[in-house]
Amino acid sequence: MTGADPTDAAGTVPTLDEVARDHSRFMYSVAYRLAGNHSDAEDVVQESLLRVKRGLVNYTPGSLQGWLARIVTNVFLDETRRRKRRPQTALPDDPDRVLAGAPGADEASAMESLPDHIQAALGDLQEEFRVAVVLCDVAGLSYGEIAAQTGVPVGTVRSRVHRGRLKLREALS
Amino acid sequence: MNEEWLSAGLDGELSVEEQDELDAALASDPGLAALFDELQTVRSVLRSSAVPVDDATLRRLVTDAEAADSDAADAEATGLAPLVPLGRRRRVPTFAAAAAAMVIIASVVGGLGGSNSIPALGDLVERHEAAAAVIEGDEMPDMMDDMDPMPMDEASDAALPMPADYTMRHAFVDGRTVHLVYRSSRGDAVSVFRHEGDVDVDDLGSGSMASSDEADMWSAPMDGAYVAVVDGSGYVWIVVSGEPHEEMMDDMMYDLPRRSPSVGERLRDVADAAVDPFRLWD
Repeated sequence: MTGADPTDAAGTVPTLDEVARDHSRFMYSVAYRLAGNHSDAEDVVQESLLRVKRGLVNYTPGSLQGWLARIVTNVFLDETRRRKRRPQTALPDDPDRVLAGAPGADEASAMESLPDHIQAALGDLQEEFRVAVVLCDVAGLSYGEIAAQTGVPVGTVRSRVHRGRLKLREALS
Repeated sequence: MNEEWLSAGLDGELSVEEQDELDAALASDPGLAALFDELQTVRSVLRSSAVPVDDATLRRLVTDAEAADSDAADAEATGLAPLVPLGRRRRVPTFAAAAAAMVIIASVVGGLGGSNSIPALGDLVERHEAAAAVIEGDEMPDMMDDMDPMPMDEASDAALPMPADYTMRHAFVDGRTVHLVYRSSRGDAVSVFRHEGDVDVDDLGSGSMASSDEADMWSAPMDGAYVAVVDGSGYVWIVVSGEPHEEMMDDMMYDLPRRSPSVGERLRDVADAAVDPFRLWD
């Protein structure tokens, strides 16, 4: 899932088009694993792309996917906090979401290979564990990068990744 | 060693010495080795699983994001609602938007106050006017640097006209907040709510912030005026002006109990009751 980390050895700053073309699927994967559903994942990705566009001017060439994962995670966490404080926006009251249409053929085909039980188990994890596991196993960040992203010590990251995986192991067994 | 080393070892996060110790433990403890294998399976599944999204969806998201950014740029050009990154709130105030918002708020609140005998409204008017004066004056020199302030009369012209015929249409409490919704005859709306605790303007979403000692002002780049003032007492005033936003206001306020049965149980709709909603704040 993580693929090769396109560390920009040439020191060039990508354009938004390049980010969208090469990394939007990666951003969507991180967003989906964090949010657990397509509607929220789309919202997160769209807001993330906005932040990417505004942030590219200050982007220092390096681990591009690490930078993108941090943006996606920040957007997700911002939205989560916002919904906790404004519960009416977190309600499953959107008819389009409750009565979602049937997936298209491409999506239905892809969904056959999706381990739903793992996604469901991810969604059941406490947020801090889910973020740690997704940043590690979906975004491919190191413990140090996750610590910097989440503002906790590396030892805490290590604990959260492990405990998160233990929970997911129960879902697999 | 402790059990967390199993995951750390899988991720290459152990020192050489720690890795050697882990390898020795795995060789001598079949149970630990079995757990290690299971964790490796979890890790592999996560790393190899595809997320079902088609290229058309990704293209649409990119297009939508670019369109939203273009709209924001247009709004910024008008001086009504330039964007700043969320993380920099309180750092880049926008005088024109603040002044326009204060004018809107003052005119709306003034209109409401004229037909209501509710002392709290008058207090809030004074508070907002004081906040506007602070923003306009020299007390926040860092805000005024590199800016071309819009005179208040010009800001007033920039603001949409706000008739003074607002009537309260809906009010409810949900345990955390009190919502009051006013509508004018032409469809504008004002929502006032108060949190029990501190109000974090990040709750309001992406937008611009201007702050004074007494109030935070937030505005969103929308087609029309959509501003909110968060004062020091936890009151949040949201002004939505213009027909394009009626649907949004309906989503936000009017239809909440109907659309959200689970929350509706916690709501107490006082729209038709002989209750002064402002007393709910006491």
